[in-house]
Amino acid sequence: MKNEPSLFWKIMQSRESFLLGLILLLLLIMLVVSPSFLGPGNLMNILTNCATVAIVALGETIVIITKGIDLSVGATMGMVTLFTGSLALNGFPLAVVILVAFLAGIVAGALNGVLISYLKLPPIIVTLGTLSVYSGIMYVITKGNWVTNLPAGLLQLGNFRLFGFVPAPVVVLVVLLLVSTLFLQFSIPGRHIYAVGNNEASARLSGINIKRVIFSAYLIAGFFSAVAGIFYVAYNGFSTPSTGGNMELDAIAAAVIGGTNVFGGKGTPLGTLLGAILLGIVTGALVFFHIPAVWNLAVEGIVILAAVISDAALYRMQTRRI
Amino acid sequence: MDILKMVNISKSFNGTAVLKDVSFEVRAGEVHALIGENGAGKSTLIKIAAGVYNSDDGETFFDGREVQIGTPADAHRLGIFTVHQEPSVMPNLSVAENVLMGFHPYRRFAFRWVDKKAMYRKTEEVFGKLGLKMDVRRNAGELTIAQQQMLEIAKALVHDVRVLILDEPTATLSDHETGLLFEIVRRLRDQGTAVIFVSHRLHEVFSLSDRITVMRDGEKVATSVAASLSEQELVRLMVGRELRLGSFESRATNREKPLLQVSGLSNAPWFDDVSFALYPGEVLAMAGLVGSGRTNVAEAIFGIQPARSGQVVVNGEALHMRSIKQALEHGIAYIPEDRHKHGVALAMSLRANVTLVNVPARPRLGCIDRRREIQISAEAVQRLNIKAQGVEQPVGQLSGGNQQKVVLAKWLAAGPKIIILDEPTRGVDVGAKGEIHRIIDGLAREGNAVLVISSDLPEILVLADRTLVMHEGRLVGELHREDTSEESIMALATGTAIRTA
Amino acid sequence: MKRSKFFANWSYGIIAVFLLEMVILSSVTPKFLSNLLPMTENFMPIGIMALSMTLVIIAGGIDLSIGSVVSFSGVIMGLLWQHGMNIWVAGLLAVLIGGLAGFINGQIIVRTGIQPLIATLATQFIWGSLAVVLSNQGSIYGFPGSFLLLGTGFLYGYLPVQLVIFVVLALLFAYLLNKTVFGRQVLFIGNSESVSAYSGVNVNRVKTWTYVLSGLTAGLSGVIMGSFFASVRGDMGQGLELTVITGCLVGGVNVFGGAGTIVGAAFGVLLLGMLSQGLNFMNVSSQVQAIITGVILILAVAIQQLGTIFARRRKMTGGEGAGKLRGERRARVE
Repeated sequence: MKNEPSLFWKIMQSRESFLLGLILLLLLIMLVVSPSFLGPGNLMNILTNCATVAIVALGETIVIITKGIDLSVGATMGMVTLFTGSLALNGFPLAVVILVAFLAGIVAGALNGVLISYLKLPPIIVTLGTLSVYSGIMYVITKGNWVTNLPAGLLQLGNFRLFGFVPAPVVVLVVLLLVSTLFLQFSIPGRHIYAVGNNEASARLSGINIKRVIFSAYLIAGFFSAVAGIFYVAYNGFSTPSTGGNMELDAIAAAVIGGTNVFGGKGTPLGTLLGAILLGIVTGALVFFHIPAVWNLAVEGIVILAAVISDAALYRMQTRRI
Repeated sequence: MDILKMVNISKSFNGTAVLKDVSFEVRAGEVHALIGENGAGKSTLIKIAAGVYNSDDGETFFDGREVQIGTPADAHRLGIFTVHQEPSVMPNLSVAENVLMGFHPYRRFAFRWVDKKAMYRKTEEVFGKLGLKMDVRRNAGELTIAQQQMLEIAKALVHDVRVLILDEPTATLSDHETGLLFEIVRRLRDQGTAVIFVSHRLHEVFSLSDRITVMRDGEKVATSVAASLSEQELVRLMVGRELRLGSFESRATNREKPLLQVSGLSNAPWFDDVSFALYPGEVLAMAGLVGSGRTNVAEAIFGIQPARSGQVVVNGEALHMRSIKQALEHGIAYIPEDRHKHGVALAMSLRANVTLVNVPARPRLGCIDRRREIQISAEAVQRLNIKAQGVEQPVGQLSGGNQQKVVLAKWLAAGPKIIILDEPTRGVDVGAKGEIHRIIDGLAREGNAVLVISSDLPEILVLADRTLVMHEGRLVGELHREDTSEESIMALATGTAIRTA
Repeated sequence: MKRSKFFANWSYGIIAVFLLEMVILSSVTPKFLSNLLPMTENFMPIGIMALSMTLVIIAGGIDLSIGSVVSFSGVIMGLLWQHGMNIWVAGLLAVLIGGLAGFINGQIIVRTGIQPLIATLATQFIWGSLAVVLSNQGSIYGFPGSFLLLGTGFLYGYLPVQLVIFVVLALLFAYLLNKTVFGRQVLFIGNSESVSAYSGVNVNRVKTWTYVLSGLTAGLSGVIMGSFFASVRGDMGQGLELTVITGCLVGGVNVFGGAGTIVGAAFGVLLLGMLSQGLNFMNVSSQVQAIITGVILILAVAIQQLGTIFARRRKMTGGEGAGKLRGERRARVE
């Protein structure tokens, strides 16, 4: 324990740099195999495609850091797309539409938060239950129909391009990445989130209001899902009752691959983003090589297993060194 | 003058009174020891002072004003801080952040932003005051237990601490670290801090404290100046009568062939080159400070935490010590130190707990023989004098001593020949302690080989035929019955004997 | 009231609620009673999987992969049959494949120490995806008529074969949990993994077996559903795990492990299944039913939680009933 960890260990320990290296390696391989994969258009496409998942995953990361889990984020996101779409179709002004959409996400998150923090119910069960409630509501709103032919105002929001080429979802993602990193790393409530996930008893003795911290984590997750939902429907111009289905799994996968520990107390927004991008590139490569999309989930499952198992192995090696 | 004064405090849990009308006060610039047996109510009292529990009745005064300490945060605001026996850190956060959690230094820039530089600086200052070198940027999970304990102390010291509560802080510390801690505590006292010191180690109590309050069964028995008390008087006050552990007639041990032979057992960094023999019909004690590797040796023999090298031979047959199952098959039983973690499942019935190691089953279909089960557990209840409403009562509802007897019963039901007991009477009341000693004696007389790991020196003196002493992972001595005394054990256990020899 | 008693009483409560539900439903919809037994065919596979899920949850785990295993083993059976294998042999192999999938889950969990939730989530992806790939995103149908009797046949003209299988398996699992050493060890592991390990219980083997049983029943459910629908598809089991878990929890199985009964879980599933059939009769859409199921799930755990808190208030000298080995492994110091 006296000898300092070598540089290699330090780099391995930083999940972010490891993932970045892995992503660059993948891109390099793709460059050699088929240069056209790396065209700016294709890369931006991949980034845009994983932006929605990444935004949802940022919220999920905060929940997982508190030692919780939120299975309802995908359903919340889907519910918000349909709220947004239906309201816009019914001629409500854009500001009202967005306000209500945000409210829907926040209320959904708050409900989870109340049940989990104040009633102390297990997160996995609560969010499993609200998952079916929220996705049930989606079908009830639309009676199973798609929401399309959205009014111009909403579409304009989605068609915004920063510098003429960065699509709106990516812009939002970057903004949220910065905000959530600032929040988690440098704000006092953000540090309290880590404290609760690391050691609840100790956090309580430090005078931290555990219930409020846990509640706000689920609230934030609901908020992030709402943002993802609004920009998803604005950018794509439609939504279906199955939008957001299984997205909680992708979000958890991105977080876990990004180094967020499911036992709480560890994880960063940047890691989660890189996890989402890694998944996006792998999926993009599958598409590129005309491998049927049905393989995506299998690949994703293997990547998750590889990530958590390597994490566990790494952890064991570290503890053995001490 | 009294900083903290608690008057007529009462508290009960589920209708059981834990504190009855207890008054307690601590002055600026004194170390006030709070002692008593387990269950005497001292930890409840300090938890009320620290805002973890709220009293049912009674008043608390701070600096002469009546206060309500409803939460730990209230206590912190007043300057009351507790250092617990077991350090409880946030493993993935830096040392500095652990120390300052809840009190981050910040800069205001529209919002409050954590000022990491100030955080590191402040923490380094505190450790400087403690005279310790510590990399405050390091994750707390990478620290040793002793370092984590120092972190807990630093946590209290970053604040303007008026009342420092030390709850058995030396349990996990080495002698050197304990000395360091005491030096710090004395310095704080001289600066006017009030210190409440809870400890079981009477010599520590005498060396550190100015006044001593003794508690028994939820009541305050006495408060007096430390210098006016002798150790015997203190013990008498604690247990309420002359403490006299029964002693046993010498046992006839067959020293021809050992039942258990351990040679060269090593598992760095816990223990190194441990060799000893255990004969049928004897009680062998293993003494040593906490952290000297005693439990690790026992767990290696039992196959929980395999050793890296060395040999364990049972009755002439070498074990590979990789599985508990093999140890069981060779008739080894291990009664672990931590009852709740490793001994009994609290929500399960006495019957199920007693028969867990060796569930009586009919040969066909693996069907449990319920009648036999009830019979075995009823016999155990009788033989070990377990006080329970019946064999179906959940073990969690029994007292500590009876829970410990259930753990014993569980292993005895498996019919072992070699029985290893790790701190068999920790947290057990005096009555049950004597009974457990008689059971251990009986086991040896039946021809079994018994190894008792204990930090309780009187217990070793009463029980052991021979005593092995460990110090920092090595066996440093073997004492025969006639040479065994508290002094001779402690001299070996603390390493002084080696140095002076 | 002690904790185990609370959960045992729960199963009587569930039976009472179930009977009440039957009375209400049959008075609201007259045809309900006459269709009572045949209706069970719509949800018996869920019941079968709930039996083994009960063991998994009691031992402190969870298995999210069973829906995918249903699809996977169903598709395997279909493919084997398409390639000329006898359908019954193919079905048997499919069940064994399910067991293998469970074995893999168990081994991943006990060897790497990763959370069951994450491990089975990953294998859910993998098996589900493979099922869709193997079935070529279509369905396989045309099984022989004798095979279809497994899912649709009746014994003595009124006892659905599925129900008979369920009842037989329920008795078997109840025996396993209550009367065997294995069942005792499952309970202990759920109560305290570390106490079990220190008492010589082979924790890893017992836990693996719970997942193997879970996989076997999922495989069997795949075969039965193939017979009931007269076809298999790569997505036929999607989402079933949620209903199965809901059934167990409604049936009083403690989400944190250590307590639960087979009777309770069986009636939990019956209660949910009959409710959904009754709502079908009343033309309530399946989406509204999903909402109702979610609400019932949350209510069930909320009541459990309150019950546990009350039970613990009634004198428990110890801390948490379920000691978690995880934390202890990290700091093994004297």
